[in-house]
Amino acid sequence: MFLLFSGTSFKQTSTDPPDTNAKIKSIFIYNFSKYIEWPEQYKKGNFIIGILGEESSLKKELDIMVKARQRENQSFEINLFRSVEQINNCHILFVPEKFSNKISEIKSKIRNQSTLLITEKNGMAKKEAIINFVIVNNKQHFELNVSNAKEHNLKVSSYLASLAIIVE
Amino acid sequence: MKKTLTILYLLVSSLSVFSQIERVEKAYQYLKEQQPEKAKTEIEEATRHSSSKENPQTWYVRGFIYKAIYNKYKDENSMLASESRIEAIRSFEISIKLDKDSLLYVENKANIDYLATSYYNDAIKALNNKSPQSAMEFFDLFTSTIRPYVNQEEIDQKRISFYLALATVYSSLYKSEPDSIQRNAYLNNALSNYDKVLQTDPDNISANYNMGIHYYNQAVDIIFALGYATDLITVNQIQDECVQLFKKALPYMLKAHKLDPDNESTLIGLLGIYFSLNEKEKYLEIKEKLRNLDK
Repeated sequence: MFLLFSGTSFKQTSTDPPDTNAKIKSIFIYNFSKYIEWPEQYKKGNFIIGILGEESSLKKELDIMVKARQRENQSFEINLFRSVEQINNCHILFVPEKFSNKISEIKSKIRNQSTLLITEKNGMAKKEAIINFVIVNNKQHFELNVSNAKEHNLKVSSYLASLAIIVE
Repeated sequence: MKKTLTILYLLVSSLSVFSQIERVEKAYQYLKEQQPEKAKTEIEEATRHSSSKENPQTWYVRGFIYKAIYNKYKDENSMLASESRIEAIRSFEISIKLDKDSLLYVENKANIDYLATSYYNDAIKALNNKSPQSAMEFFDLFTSTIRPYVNQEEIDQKRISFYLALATVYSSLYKSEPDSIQRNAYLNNALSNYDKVLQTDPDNISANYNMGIHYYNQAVDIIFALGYATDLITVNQIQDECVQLFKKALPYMLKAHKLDPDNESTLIGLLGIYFSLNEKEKYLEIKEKLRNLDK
């Protein structure tokens, strides 16, 4: 048994593996904030990224990110919404897969807001999401629904659109 | 006259033969009195003289003398100790070669074993001091010394243990090295030594597990080293690279799991790999196996 552990140790303390996907998603989210334009009134105060649910690896990554980065003249702020009712004004709202069944409620909540709704369940970009994380060839990728973006007065740069899987 | 000279010649020759035997005996006596340097002087004469240089006993005693000098100075790590060890081995080997009736074979071999083992022990010491290069040199000396006297299987077993230990040292150096180029060099050395083990013993669990873990950890390190502002084209390229590493890790980890299905570490390894490959079904399957293991 000694020899089994005589190499490098596994990078975790419990059975949960290190969340490489959360790190990659956080980089994507930062880039979304950079290559999408919000209306003027959203350019004042902090740039708010909301996450629906509990503490998660993604929130931890974003908490680190906000200390390191800024969006133009806005500081980042991460808000955790424990329920749909708690959702309030935010620039980006990330909805984990397990809350996908609440998407209609969420959509109602943010109907008149310029909120970039990001999901991670197959088919969501065809429904309410503007961006939907998908897996392609074992890699993190994203779908983009430009019409949904326009509905929320969000301008997606052509650069970002060129990298996405466009969903109509 | 001619007859007198012949007798004289024979007498002198026999005297000189006798005197060479005396030299060997004297050398042995000095050795017993723990005066190896004096013993060395006597025996060197004996190894040069035609009457004694072909005698396996001469070289056997010479081997002992140099072995004693090696033992006397080995803790000083000196050149004298090093050279004495070489000479001791050479002496025992010559004794074996000259010993047509193999009367001294067992003793000669035992001494060569002893000295070869000292090389192996030095290799292990070097590993413990995290000096892999030195360790490899000593190990090579060990195998080249012992090779004519043991079967291949014995050497293979030693080789496996050594390469596993060497890979562990490189792995440890890799983890603590700040310079990225050197880190990669250490990682590659760790992997190549695990690979050497697998070439001899493809079912070695430790080597399979560690190959898998190293590829996996390499990819995880790359991802977590990414800056949050990394552009998405680069992120895509990095993901390509990391998927390849995760896929390299997978067959080794699957093999380790197959060899020991109830081993928690290999299941955790597979869990991480499938998670990072975004293979949800396989991830959940392994998660279930882990849960069942806990019961």
